[in-house]
Amino acid sequence: MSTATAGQEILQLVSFTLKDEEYAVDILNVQEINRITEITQVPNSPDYIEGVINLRGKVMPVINLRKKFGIEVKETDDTSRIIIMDIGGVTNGLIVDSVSEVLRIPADIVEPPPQISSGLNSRFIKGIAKLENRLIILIDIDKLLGDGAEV
Amino acid sequence: MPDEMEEIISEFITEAEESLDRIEPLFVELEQKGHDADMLNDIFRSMHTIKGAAGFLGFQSIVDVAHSSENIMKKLRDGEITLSKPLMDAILKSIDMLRLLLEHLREKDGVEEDVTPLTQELENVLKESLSGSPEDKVDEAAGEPPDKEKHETVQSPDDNARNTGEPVPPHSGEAQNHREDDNAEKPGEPAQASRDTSPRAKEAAQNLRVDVERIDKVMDLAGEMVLIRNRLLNISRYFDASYGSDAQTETLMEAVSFLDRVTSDMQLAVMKIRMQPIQKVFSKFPRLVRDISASVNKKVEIEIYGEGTEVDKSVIEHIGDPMTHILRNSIDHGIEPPGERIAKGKPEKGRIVVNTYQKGNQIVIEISDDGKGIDIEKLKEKAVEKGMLTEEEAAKMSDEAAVNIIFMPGFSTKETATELSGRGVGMDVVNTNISLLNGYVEVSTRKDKGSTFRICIPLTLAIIQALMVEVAGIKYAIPLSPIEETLKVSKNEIDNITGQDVIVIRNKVCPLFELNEILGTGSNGSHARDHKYVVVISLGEKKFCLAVDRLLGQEEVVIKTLEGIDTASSYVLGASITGDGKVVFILDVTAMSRSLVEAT
Repeated sequence: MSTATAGQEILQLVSFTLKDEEYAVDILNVQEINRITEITQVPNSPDYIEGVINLRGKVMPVINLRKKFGIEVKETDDTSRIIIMDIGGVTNGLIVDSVSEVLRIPADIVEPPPQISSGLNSRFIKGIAKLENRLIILIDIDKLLGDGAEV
Repeated sequence: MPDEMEEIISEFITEAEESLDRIEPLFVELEQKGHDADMLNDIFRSMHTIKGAAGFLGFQSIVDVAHSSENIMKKLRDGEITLSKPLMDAILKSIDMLRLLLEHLREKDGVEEDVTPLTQELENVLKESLSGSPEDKVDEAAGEPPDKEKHETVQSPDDNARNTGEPVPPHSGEAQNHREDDNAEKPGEPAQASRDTSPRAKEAAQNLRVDVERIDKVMDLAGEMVLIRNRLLNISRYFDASYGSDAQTETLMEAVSFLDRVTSDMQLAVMKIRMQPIQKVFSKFPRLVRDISASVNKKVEIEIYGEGTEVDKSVIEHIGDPMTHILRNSIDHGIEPPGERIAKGKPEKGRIVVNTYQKGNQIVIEISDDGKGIDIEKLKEKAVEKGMLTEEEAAKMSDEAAVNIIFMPGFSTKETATELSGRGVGMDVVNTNISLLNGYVEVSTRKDKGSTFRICIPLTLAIIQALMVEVAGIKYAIPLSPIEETLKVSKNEIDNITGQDVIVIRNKVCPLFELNEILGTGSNGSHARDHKYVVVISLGEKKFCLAVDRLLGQEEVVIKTLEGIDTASSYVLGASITGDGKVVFILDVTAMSRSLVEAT
């Protein structure tokens, strides 16, 4: 869970894509990954709440991560997935473009978010992991909800 | 072994708390009625049981407190002393202390309370009472020895069920068996009149203490069953339509309809497990009324009826606070001071009547006082002053609507906030808590005659009857209970008064709202149609209509709570899953009525 720079620590992450960027969340928060199912719209709800789904008898909200991050919206397709996550004790679904893989990376390759990305989204970013030829943005899942502010 | 001990201790705590809950109102009743041997016996025995069990388990401070108050009870019972206010205050204090001690035990926080000042006080008041009533002392000499023998040596074999080694008089079965699951006596009636006379030992064998979590689990499963049943019903209808000629289809239909019935029965049975007499909540009230009225120097008595009415456990948990607020409000604002009451020709003592009954599938709780009533004009004035209403709004407002001003957040007519009320939070809390239970509150008031608060709550909270409607292609469920009727109206029947759509139903004008506009979902296509389907909602005095695209019929839906969604702004009180696995929102018409109707 922590991004402490204690040399030996290994982070296990689930990575996914939104538009052209690669993102990741801590695997411990992830409950399961599902294909897009039927989503029921919630009356008078913030734009980024896509609706609710029925996951084996449990009703839970689904957040469209593109909308939450202010990325241009795209219709969901065959590669789209709902990542079911525990966010601050509440089970939520996150709609992402695709889910890539499970990553194991040493904690010390994670750098704090760069100052230049002072955009509104940066507060959701926990850090950036530099792998050989790609950058992965680590999302601070607990900040994703909570303040309720939209992008 | 430690586990076993823990279980015994927790059992003791529960039983002791139940005993305290039960005897506390008796004290207050006793204070009003004076001497009542049966009641005193009952209280004495409960105290004695607590003392015995605590002694066995080694909780010395509980023993000390129970012992001191038991001493007083004994002397009272034997007629050596008479009940006085200081005596009563001291006894009530000891009950509070016992509760506190039990709480510490439950929390296992290891906090020790110093009980010596209290036991000292109890002894002192006892001494004072003894010396203050010389004629009673004569009785003591004559009456005590035989009495003592009777009460402390005779023990009926049946009564060992509690395993506390408690000495019990022979007629204990009569007095002991009214625990939480019994229909207890009504204050104001002779105590023994409504008591069940079945022997206590028999009852012990027929009751079972079950962890609430287990019951809730069964409840959840029953809910799931209902969903599956609904799905099966859908599928079987399809088979009936497509393969009606097949003999197996008929067998299937038969099996499914049997399952349908059994599921409904099971649901009801499970629901009943969770039902408890509302008395659990009410038993606090006599004491509460006594304390509050004393603190504002008013004289108030409370009468409680229908406390045997059974309600869902969650109602028990949530109804206490709002009722306390209403009682406080009635005592502080409603009932006049004794002087003023006499001047008005009313009895000096104010009266609050709490009446509970079941009406259809609702529980109704009425709290009436015979105070001065609510001053509507003053309410309006205050609301305008506080900027909650404009003057025009106030002038247009009917009396029925104006009474509801008291439920607005931050509203209070008191100039200064007292310890009891005046901060303008109470009535708002009432409304919020009761909406949480899917219920509503109505107020009616008459000047100098008093006010009545009527709380209506559905019997069960987990499963409700709902009308399924469709608007802009999306299905919604509207709880059936507030629906008065459904209508089909043509476009030219809809009038527009100062920007608000209205329709006239049997000569009454009723505001009309488009459901999809309220919900902000879907397109706005329904305006174009010639006809509209209209659902007429009636909540207390408020009435309004919701226009929908289609009415789909009535269904039994299981309410699933929603996490992570702001249910207040979305007018949704929960979700349900339909037979085909889709999520359908259950609309919160109470919230709608609050924001829509008051705004117009």
